[in-house]
Amino acid sequence: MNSLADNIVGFAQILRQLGVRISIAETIDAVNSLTIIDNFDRDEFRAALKSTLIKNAEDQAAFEQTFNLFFVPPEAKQEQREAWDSKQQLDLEQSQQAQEELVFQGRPLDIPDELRDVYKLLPEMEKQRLQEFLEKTSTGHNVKESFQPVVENLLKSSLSFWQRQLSPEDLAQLAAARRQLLGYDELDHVVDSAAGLGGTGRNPLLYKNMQDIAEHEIPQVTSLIKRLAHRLTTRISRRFRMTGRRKLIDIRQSIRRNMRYGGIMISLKYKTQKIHKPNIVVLCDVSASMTKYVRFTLPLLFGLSSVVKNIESFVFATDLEKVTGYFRGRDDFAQVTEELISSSAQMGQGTNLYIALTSLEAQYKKLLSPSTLLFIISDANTLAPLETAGELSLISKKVKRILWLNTQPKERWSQNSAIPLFSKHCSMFECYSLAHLTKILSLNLTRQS
Amino acid sequence: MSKKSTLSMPELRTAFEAHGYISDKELLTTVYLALKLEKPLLVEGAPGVGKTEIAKVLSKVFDTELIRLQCYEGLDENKALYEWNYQRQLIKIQMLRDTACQNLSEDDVFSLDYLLERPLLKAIRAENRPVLLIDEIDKTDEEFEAFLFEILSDFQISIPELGTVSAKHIPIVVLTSNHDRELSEGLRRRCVYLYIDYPTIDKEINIIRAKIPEVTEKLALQIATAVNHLRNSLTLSKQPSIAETLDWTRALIAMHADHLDSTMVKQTMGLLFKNRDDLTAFQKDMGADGLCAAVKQATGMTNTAYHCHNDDASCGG
Repeated sequence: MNSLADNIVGFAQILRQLGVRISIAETIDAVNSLTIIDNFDRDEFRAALKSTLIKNAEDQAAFEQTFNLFFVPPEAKQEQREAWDSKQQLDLEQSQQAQEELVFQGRPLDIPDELRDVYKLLPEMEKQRLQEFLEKTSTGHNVKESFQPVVENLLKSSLSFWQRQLSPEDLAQLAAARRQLLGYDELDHVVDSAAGLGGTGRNPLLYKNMQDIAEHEIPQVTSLIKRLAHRLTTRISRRFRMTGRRKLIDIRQSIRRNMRYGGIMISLKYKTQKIHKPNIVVLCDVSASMTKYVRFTLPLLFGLSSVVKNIESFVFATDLEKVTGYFRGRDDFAQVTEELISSSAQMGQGTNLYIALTSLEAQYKKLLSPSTLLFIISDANTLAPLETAGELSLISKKVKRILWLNTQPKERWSQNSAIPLFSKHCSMFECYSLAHLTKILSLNLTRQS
Repeated sequence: MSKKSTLSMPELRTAFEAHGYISDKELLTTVYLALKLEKPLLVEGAPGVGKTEIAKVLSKVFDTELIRLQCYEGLDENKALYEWNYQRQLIKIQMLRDTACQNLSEDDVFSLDYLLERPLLKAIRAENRPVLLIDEIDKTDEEFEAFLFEILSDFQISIPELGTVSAKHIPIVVLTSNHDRELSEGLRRRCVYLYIDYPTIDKEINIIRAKIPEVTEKLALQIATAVNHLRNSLTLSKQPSIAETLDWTRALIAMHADHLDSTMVKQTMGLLFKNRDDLTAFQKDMGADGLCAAVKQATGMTNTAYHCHNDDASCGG
């Protein structure tokens, strides 16, 4: 990195690695802006880069962290480099150790990189247990070379189990670590340090994993959801209705009304756009695997119900249960939740979405119309995935759209073979935080489609 | 554009201060870059933090017209760009018919005389470089945003009956958004971006004193501290904005207050909280006494300098 322009390009590269979308045009703007301001004033320099490279509030924190790590005196940079080199060295040693430990009869096991990374994170005792298992199988009686795929599968299952125990943040970090390397040590150490800091310039609650939400944060979550849901109530349609206000002239009506005056346009008629209020049906998974998200899903149902009039809410696990009545016209969330949890037969049961969808079709056929938006909030862990996909296919032809809000991080979707089946018939989104929800509603519910 | 079209950064700072807009270096640098790079300025932030005010101040600084397009759901091209004055056209047709004029042509009714300029066309046809404020762009739909995007790229429009109208001067464009909806990447990419957060206590004191010179230093400090405490301590659906802080200050001055006390807080809460849920949350979680106590603690005032007119409880609780 020699010139200032090189530094700006490098800085933009780091931000891109952290998920900030920066185009070449914006990088050029950033370089141009530095010819206009006083580069010796750090605050001005920072503001110039921020206003040209960062175009939304969510990326402000990433910018600040990266700026503070990247534009530092040479001695601080040297310290960062040394820390990075040590970390790289440690990671290399751990990888080599994993390579040496995960062997069968002296041959390395074919384990995906992401599971190797999980192995590296395991407690020492668990690593020991797996090594003992490999040792015993390798030296077992009549154990041949052909037995290796079986051992690999057993090990993969075990590591997948441990992967499921990791928090979504750990998983995201693991995934990010694999794709974050730019190949330039002087940039990579900044990417690594900034990625570890996380955070946001806006409400931290927006980015919090909803399984970690505290009791006292629920009112704020509900309030944020209400605000998001408000847009659903007043979506403008492309269709028109008559109005007394001076909006658009309705030529057809004007001509018809003025025939009595011999075609002279004495009385003009106006039209305006209709307010479109979609019918919304929400199916919320409250099975055992979704229990940890109940602090997200119930406020979501409550928030949507309080602002959207045409909404029908259901919970499901082993079957479907209508819960619209619990939420309608109520403003005490705690009381509603208590009543629902104590009286619903579905809470904490196993999941069979196929039965739930069948019940929906059989008992609530009228709800499934071409103006219906069907929301499914679930981690997609269900019995009878093939039958469920078939039922989804049938329903998708009857409703306007099926939006599936999946509380599982995207990194884990590959482990669920049902997800590709379901995705054919609905739009599935990663949704375990309010930020996800904001984006989903913003992108999908403000369309005029 | 006026004679002041080439302001330096210090001049811009002075001009903003002269018009009562308290800003920091980040805001000024961003505005300065938008002017210099001739790019639209996209300002996001919570309601009432001073987004729209930037456009107003810029029009004063450059002594030029402020053309405002207030966005709302369902806003369409006709309301933003131009419309034909149908009534006038019809009257004209009728008049020509009554005078048995045989030379009636389209040009008679499709000329500039019959064109109703809406904000965007007005900005394009302005004689001097205007400030075009596109307020609350997030209230519009994506189709309108795409249409706007095109206008902001070329600053020229085609009117089928009249031909292409190009801008005489590229307007100073300020777009504001409350982040109700994600704006398109394309629009963001073409703008210089500024996010305005709620002010710090010090900044809010400066704003109060700039806008309401008659306020005492002590009262300004207490008000700014109180509002800051409310924003950070309560879960509100609508946080008190700067505009509400100023309204509250004016109300307290009208009541001849020289410091905050719980009675006055109780009497004026309606100026800070604009819905029942927020008011209930305040009364339940903090109350006027709690707020006074927090302000007292934060400002480190002594009991003698700080009074609480509460019937049976002191503010020290």
